[in-house]
Amino acid sequence: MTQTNRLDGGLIDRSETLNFTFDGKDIQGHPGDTLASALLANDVRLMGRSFKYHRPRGVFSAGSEEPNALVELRSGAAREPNTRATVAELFDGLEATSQNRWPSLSSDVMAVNDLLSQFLTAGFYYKTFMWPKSFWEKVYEPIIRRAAGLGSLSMEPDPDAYDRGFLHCDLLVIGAGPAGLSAALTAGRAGAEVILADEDFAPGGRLNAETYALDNEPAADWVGTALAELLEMPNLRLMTRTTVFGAFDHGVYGAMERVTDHLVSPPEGAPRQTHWKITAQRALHCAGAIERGIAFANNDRPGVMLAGAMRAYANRWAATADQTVAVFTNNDDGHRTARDLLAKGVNVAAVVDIRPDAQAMGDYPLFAGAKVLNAKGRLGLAEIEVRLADGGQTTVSCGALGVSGGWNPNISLSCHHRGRPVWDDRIAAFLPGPTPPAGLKIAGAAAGEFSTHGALKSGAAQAVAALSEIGVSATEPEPPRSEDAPFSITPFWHVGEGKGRAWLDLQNDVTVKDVKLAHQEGFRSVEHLKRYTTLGMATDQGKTSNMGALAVMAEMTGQTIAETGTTIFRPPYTPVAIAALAGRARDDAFRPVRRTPSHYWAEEQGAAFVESGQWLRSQYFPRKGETHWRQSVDREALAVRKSVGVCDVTTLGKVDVQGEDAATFLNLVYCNGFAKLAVGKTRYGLMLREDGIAMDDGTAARLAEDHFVVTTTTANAVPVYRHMEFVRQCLRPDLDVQLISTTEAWAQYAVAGPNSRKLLQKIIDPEYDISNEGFPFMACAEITICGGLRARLFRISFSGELAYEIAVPTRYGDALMRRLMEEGREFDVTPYGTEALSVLRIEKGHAAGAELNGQISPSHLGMARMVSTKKDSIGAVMSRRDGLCVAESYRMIGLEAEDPDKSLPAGAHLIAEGDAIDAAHDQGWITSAAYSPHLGKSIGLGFLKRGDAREGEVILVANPLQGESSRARVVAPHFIDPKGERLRA
Amino acid sequence: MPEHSLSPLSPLGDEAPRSTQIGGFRLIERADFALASVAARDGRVEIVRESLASLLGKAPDAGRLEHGKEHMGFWIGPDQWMIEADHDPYEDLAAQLKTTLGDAVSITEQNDGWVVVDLEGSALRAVLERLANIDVSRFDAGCATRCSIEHMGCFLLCLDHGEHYRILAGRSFAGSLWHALTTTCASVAAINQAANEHNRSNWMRP
Amino acid sequence: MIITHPILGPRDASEFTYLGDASLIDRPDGMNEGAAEAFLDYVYLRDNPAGEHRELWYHEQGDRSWLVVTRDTVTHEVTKVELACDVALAARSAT
Repeated sequence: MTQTNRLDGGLIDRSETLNFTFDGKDIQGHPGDTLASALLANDVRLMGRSFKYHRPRGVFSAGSEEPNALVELRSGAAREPNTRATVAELFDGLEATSQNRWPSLSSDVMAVNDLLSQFLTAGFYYKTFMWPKSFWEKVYEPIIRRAAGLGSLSMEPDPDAYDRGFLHCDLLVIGAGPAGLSAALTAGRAGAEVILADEDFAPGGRLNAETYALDNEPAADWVGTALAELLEMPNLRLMTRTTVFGAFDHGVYGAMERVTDHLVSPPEGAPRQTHWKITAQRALHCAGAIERGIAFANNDRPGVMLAGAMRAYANRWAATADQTVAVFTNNDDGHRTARDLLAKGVNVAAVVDIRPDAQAMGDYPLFAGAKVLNAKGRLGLAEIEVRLADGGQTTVSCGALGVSGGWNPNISLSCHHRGRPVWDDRIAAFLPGPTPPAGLKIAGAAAGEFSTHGALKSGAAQAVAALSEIGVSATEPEPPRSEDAPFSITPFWHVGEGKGRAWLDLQNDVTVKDVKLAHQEGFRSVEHLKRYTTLGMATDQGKTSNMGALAVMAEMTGQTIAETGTTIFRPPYTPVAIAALAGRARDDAFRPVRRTPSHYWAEEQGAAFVESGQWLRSQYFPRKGETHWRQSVDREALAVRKSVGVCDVTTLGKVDVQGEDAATFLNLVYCNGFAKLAVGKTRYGLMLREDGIAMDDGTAARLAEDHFVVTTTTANAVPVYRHMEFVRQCLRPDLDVQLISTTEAWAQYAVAGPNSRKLLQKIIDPEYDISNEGFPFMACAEITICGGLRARLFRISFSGELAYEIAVPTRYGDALMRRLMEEGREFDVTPYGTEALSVLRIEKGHAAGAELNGQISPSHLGMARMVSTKKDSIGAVMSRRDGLCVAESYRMIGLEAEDPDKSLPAGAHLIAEGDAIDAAHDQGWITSAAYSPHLGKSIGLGFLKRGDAREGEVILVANPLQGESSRARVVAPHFIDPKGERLRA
Repeated sequence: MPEHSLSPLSPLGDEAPRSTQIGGFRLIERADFALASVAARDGRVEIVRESLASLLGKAPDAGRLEHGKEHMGFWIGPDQWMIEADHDPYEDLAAQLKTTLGDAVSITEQNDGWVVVDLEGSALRAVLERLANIDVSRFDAGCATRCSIEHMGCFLLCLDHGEHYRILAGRSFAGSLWHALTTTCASVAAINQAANEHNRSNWMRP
Repeated sequence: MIITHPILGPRDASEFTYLGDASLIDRPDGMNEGAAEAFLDYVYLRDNPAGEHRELWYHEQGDRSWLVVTRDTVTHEVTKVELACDVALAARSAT
């Protein structure tokens, strides 16, 4: 093909030819083209099939409002469906494919839907497929989805990179047409930090599409001069290919920059798109206006398009859909299209103007007081039927028809905080309402200023007004002399006669008849109309179609359009790729990973790792010959009980608590007493929420009168610190207490087992006595190890064995682990992971996260007596509520499997033997379970009603999810050393 | 400090700190700092400000950092600061400060709580604005703030506007922070390369 | 959303964690007579205004200050931001 519909002039670079394909055919265009303009220039009018009826469709607009020309770009994993051809910037090597058709665009078998259209009218979803209910998911929906649809996904991971970022400015100018450029010049010259964003790759807006003069130079040249000045301003950032898609609270805007979408092979690592969060003190919406059509029979034929788009293709892109065109209009703008196309050498066969007093702007046949009845031509427009003013009828041959029903100010962003638009009779359209998002002003055609002069003037004036609100003084420049025509329109929405359907919403296939049907069936409010007919609910949000439908509904109800009202727009303004919202946070980088001090050493040991919140922890350390994780875990747990093991417990939260009132503070935070804890001692502490439920547990070690180190569970480190700050700042600001997290400053290892003291004695400097007498159970001290390295030692035990936790500055954590392994060889020291840690604590009966699940009170844990009555503490009062304390309530228990071959699943429910397995007979549940290598059977912890009084009872362990159940014996929740002799040894 | 027999590992898990050059940007892991947090005790903030002034020239105001002769300090919260000094002579920085500042403060050793990365180069604005939600153009030399970088809580310090920034994140995040910084630098470098290769076409005047 | 921190100026809401009604500052004394009833009110009973609401926000990715933010729940307009410790101290000295 050879660009048979390419005209003279335009903002394209003819010195370079770009080769691309559409449905496999090789086609040429030029830099500056969009896919749509290049296809038109090559005489391609048919670009897609419609959503529901698979009607042949061509390009309807020249911008992001496009409802029809949706295509798939690229191939393989990079395929992107539903791209508007009107905004796809052409590049060499672009692959484009039409969608929603099979086997080909010109012969689509699903076009049979069009013949079935009487069954697929408004509300057909609700009417046709009502029953049986089960058919909906299994039968109807899959069929409908296959038949009616948009493009298809590649079903492969998105291969592209995406970025995100944050920008700040004094003034964000949205849209770089006449109003936006004028605003940016005004604000930029005033020295304000300005961002000027435009969705197009060429700033200028309508100025690029018109032939007006500004100060005697062509509009597009004036744009060039303005840009040159703007680009010199260090305080101004021009962002092209950037769509501001949403207005959010307090001046935050979402914007999507298409960084390399227009490059065939971007450099390695370059993002395809960048998602910007822009914080703007003030913003100016200069997004122009969007033309609307007039509905008449078969007005969806390829070749029927908006008159302003037809003019834009001719002036900016030097392309026409056909060498013979016609125009159908209710306002002067349609005549501008006829005039400009004529000037480009295109044959204008007719201008059909519904106004009886219409005046021609050039030498073309004018049918005043006439209307277009019908459009004919199966895969593309061939002729139109016209009803003349005198009642006669004629036929006009043309391959393209430009339709202008008037212009709608682009109110999108002004609606984003539920701003209600208001009707304006002067322009027969909705204007932004009185309450746009705070800090957002509107200028230019978006505010109903349709003349070039008006747009330039209002852009500058609104910029001055916006800046004055933030204390920046700016001067309104004298705008260039330019077109200032008054806007003249006779509202006209649809031609009532003519055979065939008259289309309103081209993307969702909604016709005038559908709106009438909705009215007939009582769906008369605009919100009901929208949902019943799906009008405006497609990816274009009805930018070109909503008004027509509102007008039809107004006509049916006998109300004005103002009385009928309108639905409003919400973000995003145009579709946004989900991957772009994710930015860099995908795959392995989906969220940050935290590594423990022993991580690299553990990797060398071949450890298996487990995610524990953000942390990666060693789960177990498989040894040669071990084929199942249980073998490793059993070995590790037994080794601790037999000799000594080492486990990295750095992940436990550590909070440094200092100040004169530190003990008073902890007395409030913990339900048990801390005031009398001696220096050099550690105590277990239980924190409650104010409603009396357990929040977290841990230890507090008193290093000095005014200095404690509090530990939290791994999972709750952040919320507990937040809570402690709440108590400090909001409840007791009178106390002298200072907090800071020190979790990561110290590498902390549990050294547990009967030989733990012997092992530690080998590394702790000899001046420190860690004998049972010198350093008894629950002692803590600041010591030195390995010849002078400062360290902290705590004699605490999670496993129930003689045990310590030792902490060193984190940079030495790796070396300490290696040293412990080396020095422990004589004791067969065994590193153990989170699995063995869990087995050991279940055997000992220590509660952990699974027990402290947000429903459990001290009484349930058997710790009611720990809640001190001698002082006030958070949650103490509420923990004594009857409902939490009655004997019938849950109590923590231990369970031993009756059948040694059966495991006890955590989460299983406890049912009395003989009772039915249902919710009514539910008596409790298992929180944690493990195989105890020490006892040689499966054990568990859980909560059971009156559990403390039911030791010895055999109970049913029900797992209805898997349809299984087994039996277990209720025991005290201490499987080893109930008297605590080992840990005091 | 006494000689002990354990050797340190950098937050990124190497014996020596890591550094890399990406496009015009340099990323340098800094393991050579001692850190300590200083919080004024109740009613003692003026005394602490005076002591900090003698150490740093001026007690850092909210959102600011100050350089002293051998120390640098920045504000981290109301009546709370972080002090930085060279690690080797100041490994016991917390203890030294306690001696100087006495009962007026609570001091916590923070030497190893952080991974510290310096970001150097020219035109770093494009990198910074992809990392943190701060107004980069107004984040001048001497600014210090806590912020979120790829969901990691970080301190961000500006040492030289547009050319030298310091980022501190929780030490355990070192790998993820390094990944975030290197990919962002690579991304900006690639965008810059694309911009150089694809000069504006003739259709776009001037 | 933007919260104008009394010390640090405008900061993005994503840096903050929300807790709830600022009446949580007025915690009853657990050792007082009638504490059970007082805590029932304190823990569970809240006004739910369509309009001005005083609420607690924590600057987690910032200076770790708790703030009392006065916000219109209908428009999200923030009319006042105070340091919670100032509010709490003022409340203590008033009683």
